[in-house]
Amino acid sequence: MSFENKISKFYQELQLHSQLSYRHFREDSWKAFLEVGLPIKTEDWKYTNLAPLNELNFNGGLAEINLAQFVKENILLANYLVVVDGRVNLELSNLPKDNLLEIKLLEKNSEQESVNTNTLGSLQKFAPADFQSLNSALFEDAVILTFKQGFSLDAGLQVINISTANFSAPRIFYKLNTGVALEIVESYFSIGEDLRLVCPVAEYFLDQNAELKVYKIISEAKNTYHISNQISQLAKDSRFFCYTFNLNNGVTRNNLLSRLVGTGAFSSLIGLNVVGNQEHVDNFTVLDHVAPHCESYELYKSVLGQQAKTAFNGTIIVQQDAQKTNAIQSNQSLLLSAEAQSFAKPQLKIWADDVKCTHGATFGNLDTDALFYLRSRGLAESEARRLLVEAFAGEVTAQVKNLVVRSFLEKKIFQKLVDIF
Amino acid sequence: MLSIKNLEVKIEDKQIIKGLNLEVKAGEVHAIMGLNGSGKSTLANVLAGRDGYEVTAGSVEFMGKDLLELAPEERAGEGIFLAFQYPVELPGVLGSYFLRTAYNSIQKYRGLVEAGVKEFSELLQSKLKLLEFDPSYLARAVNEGFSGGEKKRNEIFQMALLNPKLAILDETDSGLDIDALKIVSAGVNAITASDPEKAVIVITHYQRLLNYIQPDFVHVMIDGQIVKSGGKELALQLEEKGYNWLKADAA
Repeated sequence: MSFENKISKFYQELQLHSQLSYRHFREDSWKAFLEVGLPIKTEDWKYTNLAPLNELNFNGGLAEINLAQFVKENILLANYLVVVDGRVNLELSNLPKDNLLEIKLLEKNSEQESVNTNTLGSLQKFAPADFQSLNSALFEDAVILTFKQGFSLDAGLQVINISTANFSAPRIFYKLNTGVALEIVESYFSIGEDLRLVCPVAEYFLDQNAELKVYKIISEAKNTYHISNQISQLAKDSRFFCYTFNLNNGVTRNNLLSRLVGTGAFSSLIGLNVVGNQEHVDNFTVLDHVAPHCESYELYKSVLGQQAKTAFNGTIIVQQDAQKTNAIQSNQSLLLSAEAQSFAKPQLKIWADDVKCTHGATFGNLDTDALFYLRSRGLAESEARRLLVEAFAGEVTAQVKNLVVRSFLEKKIFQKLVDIF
Repeated sequence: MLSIKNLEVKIEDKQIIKGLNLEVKAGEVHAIMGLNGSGKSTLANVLAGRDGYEVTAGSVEFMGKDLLELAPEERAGEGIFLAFQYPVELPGVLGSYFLRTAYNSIQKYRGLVEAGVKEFSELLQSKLKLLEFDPSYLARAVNEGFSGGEKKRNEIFQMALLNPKLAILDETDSGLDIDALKIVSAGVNAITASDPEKAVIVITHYQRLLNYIQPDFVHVMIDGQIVKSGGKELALQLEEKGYNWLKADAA
């Protein structure tokens, strides 16, 4: 039985309990998904093979875990929201009590809220239908967070996503009103080694002059397919920084779409993959410059050991009105093993005539001159290698200004490097 | 201290050094002069242990040990220091961290006490003065965005810090303006003055450097061999007459 057939049971079950307006949204999304189906061997999925998902067993039992303990061990910030298999767990969460923060939960079986498709899913048409639609059809809870003007939260907010089941579709929506500045850590964990699919969708709406920093840290188990969509829309003078750290993966695909719709907006997509064994990471980014005088910056770096594989697809669209666009894109891969593979595919689609777009990609092993230089200064070869790899990764971590997050990442990266060397 | 006998070196299939002999004793300053392609830099790299060079004959002994058997980091530990002709930029590697790691690696190799952050910072301050070095360099990535002169000064700064027995300066003067040349030379002279046992091999095209670093011996290298050795007056002769009169001798 195909993936689509097997997963249709989920859809039917959910629809039984959905209220009317909700039902239409699911139905439209489900149809949109069925039209494209599981994208196998299409041009956009050239580097990530989804065929194994046809083997997904949706009847798999939940992994046993002491949730409270697990959450406790993985808290980075003082405020956190816990989401288990796409369902919000408020008991384990610690959310700020502030009337400038509005939290709406669209819960499975709940009769209270109706889905306002003006908010949730409103950017759906700009992103590929596949997994985004699948999520819209199949999410159980959706979290809608509205940060009103004047809201501030120095400590930031962490969203802890834990997957114990074979399938989950976490859904979250952030709206930052004018001038709000916020930091968010999105952590993803999977418990258990069986084949599974986690397909989260996060939507970020930034009003005028808002600033959002998202640190997404992926720590999935080896048979987890983590296929995410992160979609952002930036109003005038807003600033969006999206960091993706892929430190433990099975197969990971991150689709990022950032739309710069107000003048003076800035979008920065940054990623670091530290991968070994058969780990796989595919970052698929689209920066859509709609308004003039916007800037975008992309930096994706990979450190690959053993048979790991990474891919980067970076599309920059500059619409006809988006004059004076400045877009910078860079992709660098450090291959520590002859069996590791890394691919890059930059694509520029420029319809305006007064723009600056630069892109570059480099692939290679450690610089032998640099290695010799360090060894000639007394460093053992292994230490010289470690120092150079840390320096390579450090270009990304150095940009993380939150010291708690940075030191956590540095520790994780160090541990991972020990494994892949 | 250093004894090179009948050294022959190939890069890929090309013979670069063709039977070279050199003896350096503690406290001596030797200058090796020669044109581009004569094998000077190959000699420096072979002594420091760079990959890609094949020693096909001869021997190199340093302080009684077979130098060619040692890894580059072991040579550094034994007391060899190469000031690079083209110092490497290390983006993302912080100067102060690099220096402390290097210093402690060598201290460890020599069985000496490793320095903590605070002690090391004091040690750095004392060495910085020696080379009129701006402390802000330490907070930057090693050599990244440095001018040619700053990179060369950084080499000598490392030499002061790592306390070698034998320093090899590979065209340290190339590309330096006269002010930078004076600072670099003064640094080298201060290091050697502080320890009369230190030996230096200065590799250069130009006699100019030797006005500031006085050699005890000058060797002329042509086509992979030392064709003539003498005192510092030999450098002046080369400045005046060029290398052609020696080429005839070599042939």
